[in-house]
Amino acid sequence: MVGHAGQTGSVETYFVLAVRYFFGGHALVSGANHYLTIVPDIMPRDPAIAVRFMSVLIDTHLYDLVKVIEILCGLSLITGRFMPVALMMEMPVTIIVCYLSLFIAPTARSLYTGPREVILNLFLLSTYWGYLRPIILQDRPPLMPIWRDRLFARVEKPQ
Amino acid sequence: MIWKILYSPYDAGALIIMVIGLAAHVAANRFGGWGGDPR
Repeated sequence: MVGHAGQTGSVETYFVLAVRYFFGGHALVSGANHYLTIVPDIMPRDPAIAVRFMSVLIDTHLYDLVKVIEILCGLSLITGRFMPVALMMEMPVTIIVCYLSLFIAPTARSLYTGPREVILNLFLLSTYWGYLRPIILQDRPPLMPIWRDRLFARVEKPQ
Repeated sequence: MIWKILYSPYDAGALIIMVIGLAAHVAANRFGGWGGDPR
């Protein structure tokens, strides 16, 4: 059951899985609740600038878009598909939530949940270092536009 | 007070999904699996 790090069934694997399901589950529940309203949406009641910010997000329907991103990220992390790109999509939302939680509308709970979101999102991204390394370190030199990928190139029939 | 900081309905939902997901993985690993983590 408990094997070496990296093996299926190791403590490391299950820890990453647990974080993945928790973060994904939280995103899915939070996103889905916006449309299903099982519990009231969590909204800042003060200060005025936070209430104004949220009102503008809601009135411009950007908040709906944020919730769609959360739902997609949640589904991705739970089903195990497209996880690196989902985690990158979620990162701007995470940073804004954390900024609001820490500096604009801090409460005892938001001081805990804001940084938690950033830590979990960054931790899960760090588990995809193999994917991120070429982007961050730029250690794969060939610059290839997507349209030159063999995946999309026309296959020529042999003469 | 500490309960109010740590608990929210979203967290409860996330924990339930986490437990179900982990249980599914443990069961799959023990009883033949589905060919590994699909990432």
